[in-house]
Amino acid sequence: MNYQWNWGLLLQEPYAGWLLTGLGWTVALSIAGWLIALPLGITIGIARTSSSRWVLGLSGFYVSVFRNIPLLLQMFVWFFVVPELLPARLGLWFKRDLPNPEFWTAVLALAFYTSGRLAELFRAGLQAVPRGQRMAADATGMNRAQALRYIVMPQALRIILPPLTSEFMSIVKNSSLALTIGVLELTAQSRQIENFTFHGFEAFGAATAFYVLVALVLNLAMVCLQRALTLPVAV
Amino acid sequence: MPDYSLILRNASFLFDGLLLSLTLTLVGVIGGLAVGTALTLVRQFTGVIGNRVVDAYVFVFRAIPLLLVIFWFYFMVPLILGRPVGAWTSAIVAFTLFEGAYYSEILRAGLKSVRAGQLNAALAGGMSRAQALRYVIFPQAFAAMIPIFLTQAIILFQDTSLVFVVSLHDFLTATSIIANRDGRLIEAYGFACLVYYLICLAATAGVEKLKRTFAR
Amino acid sequence: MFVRKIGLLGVVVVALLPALARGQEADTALARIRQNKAVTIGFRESAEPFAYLNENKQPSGYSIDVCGRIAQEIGRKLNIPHIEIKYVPVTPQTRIPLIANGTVDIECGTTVNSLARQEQVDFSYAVALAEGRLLVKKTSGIKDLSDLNGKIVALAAGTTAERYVRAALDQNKINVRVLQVRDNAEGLLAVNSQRVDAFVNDAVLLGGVLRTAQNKDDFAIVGHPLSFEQVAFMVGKNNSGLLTIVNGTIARLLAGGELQKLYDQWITPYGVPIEGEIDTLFKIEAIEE
Repeated sequence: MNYQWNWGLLLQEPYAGWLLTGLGWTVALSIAGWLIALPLGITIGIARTSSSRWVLGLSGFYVSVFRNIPLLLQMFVWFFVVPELLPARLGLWFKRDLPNPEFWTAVLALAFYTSGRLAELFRAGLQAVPRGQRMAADATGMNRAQALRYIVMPQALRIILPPLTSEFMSIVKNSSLALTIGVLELTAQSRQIENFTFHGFEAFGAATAFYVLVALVLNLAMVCLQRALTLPVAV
Repeated sequence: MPDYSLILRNASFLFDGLLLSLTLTLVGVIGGLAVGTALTLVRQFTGVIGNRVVDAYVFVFRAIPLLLVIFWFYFMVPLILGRPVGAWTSAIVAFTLFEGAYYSEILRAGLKSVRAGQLNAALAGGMSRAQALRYVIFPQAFAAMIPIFLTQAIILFQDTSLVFVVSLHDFLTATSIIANRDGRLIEAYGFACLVYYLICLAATAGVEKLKRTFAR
Repeated sequence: MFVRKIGLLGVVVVALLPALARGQEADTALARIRQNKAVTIGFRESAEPFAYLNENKQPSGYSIDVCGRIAQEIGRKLNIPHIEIKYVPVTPQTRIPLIANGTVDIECGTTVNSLARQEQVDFSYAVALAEGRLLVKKTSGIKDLSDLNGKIVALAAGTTAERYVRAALDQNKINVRVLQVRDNAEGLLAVNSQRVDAFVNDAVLLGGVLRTAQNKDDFAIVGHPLSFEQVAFMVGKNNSGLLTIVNGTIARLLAGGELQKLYDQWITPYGVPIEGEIDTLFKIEAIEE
């Protein structure tokens, strides 16, 4: 295998700048997507525990749509199809006049996809809270919303914290799919460097290092969060 | 005016794409199981160092996006083999090693779920560690793991769409080619959504049914 | 007496060894062709009109035809009547490695000559010019790069156009947003759906993708050329014998007017006739005997 190594490449401009820009877009995509997915996912998740068959069915359909269609296809639909279905002026705005249209399209795709998965997660969490809790809340005079807010949800959150962090890791990884619609996030930039310099090991190695770093940080954050949120156990 | 005739006109091209997606899924599952099993055996029969190495492998493959893995192997496989290889070979290597990490975690969790007493009893009964794994632990773990393996396979089927970036003609890539060629984006992508939806829905329902038959 | 003769033979052989070794380094391609009685041509499967698979799944196109002539000339020079041509498909990723490691003798596609590539392969004389131009909608009124100020342009990832257009935009201080697209079809789509105002790539490629469009009359290819890149054939390094034959064939075809005929047959319908710089290029390359 004859390969010329050149790790110094990563510190040179413009490549170093490209990697950092890419990392920035990855972080932006992940956070923006998460901020939309979380409230959406919680809402649908609560709907998934509803007693109304109508609400249950509708939310079930929502979840099944966003979980059974590959994320890449969802991204293409948001990018290629949705603007054409909107009224002409809105579609045009969505395609060109919105600042960073590709970024926001990717964010929407990521958000809705992740919300489907979060919905199922919250449903499982809510259902894992012992029924006695809700009954006790009812007995003390709370209505359903109060019970949910003060008693059930906090316990559910603690139960699903590990898979929740795992979902955030997923959205960070899934943000790479935005490169197919023109967002130059981290993976795209590393490929760009490889195209220009043929030094794939260094380029992809840098991207790998960044993702691993993010994973380590998230793992640490989860441990800290879990410790902070642990309810004191009665001895 | 929606025009769905392009689906009919390109039916065989789309079908070939679907076939490629399914083939890639199958190879990925089998290869992934093989790699996952190998990693599990390494864990079982080596000491701390072996376990740490497998831990690192699994951690890295689970931390980085599948797209990056595909790019890595598309670049690296020809370099290692010393000769140019096509996208298909690189994709298979990428998927196999990637799925291997996930399957090894499923196996690890599955083996752990079998009560420790089983292993101790087997060892006390005179079996070697290998025999204990083969005749006592593994069979018990397997029944519980099959639904999870299958669910992972469904996820893999969706992930095969990512070979779009190396221009392998899977179902999604084939759809995008005819969508661009005929300018009928809505019809083409709408059809693709329907196909994926139905296949994954049916497969997931099948796994649910399997889970219920296993849960005794 | 006998030993002396062996000794003398040994000395002669040793003296000749360097010559033999040098012989093995250079012109390995010609030696291979002589041995196999066949030329291995690397071709692109979908780079119309230069090289592609036609309806009968046969390699055809401008580059294929020219290389066919070159193969015949090789057969003549090496005294191999009925020389065989083996076709090996290549992609932009594999074309250079396959030439460099000798799997392919000549690459006949749409590869552009660049200094970076010249470190790994040698290029023949140019058989076409890749001129970067803009694909726009007629209604947009855009005539040149400078009209793009405040607008959006699409560039295909990994193309040389991506590089020289970004450079040109920086240099002329034109304020343009760039959208990266995957390939020519996506670039056309972006212009068609008004996501961008222009798509820049080689004029022949633009002509090619336009031919497949349903509404080709809505579009125009405009602008003075942003680049002059030589489309040429690749051979491996240290194959000067082969390269001489390749270049000689091209020069003779130009002098006799045959290359121009092939060009008119294949390339001119894509909107890039022999005029201006291409005309000059062909005149200059028609080197005398």
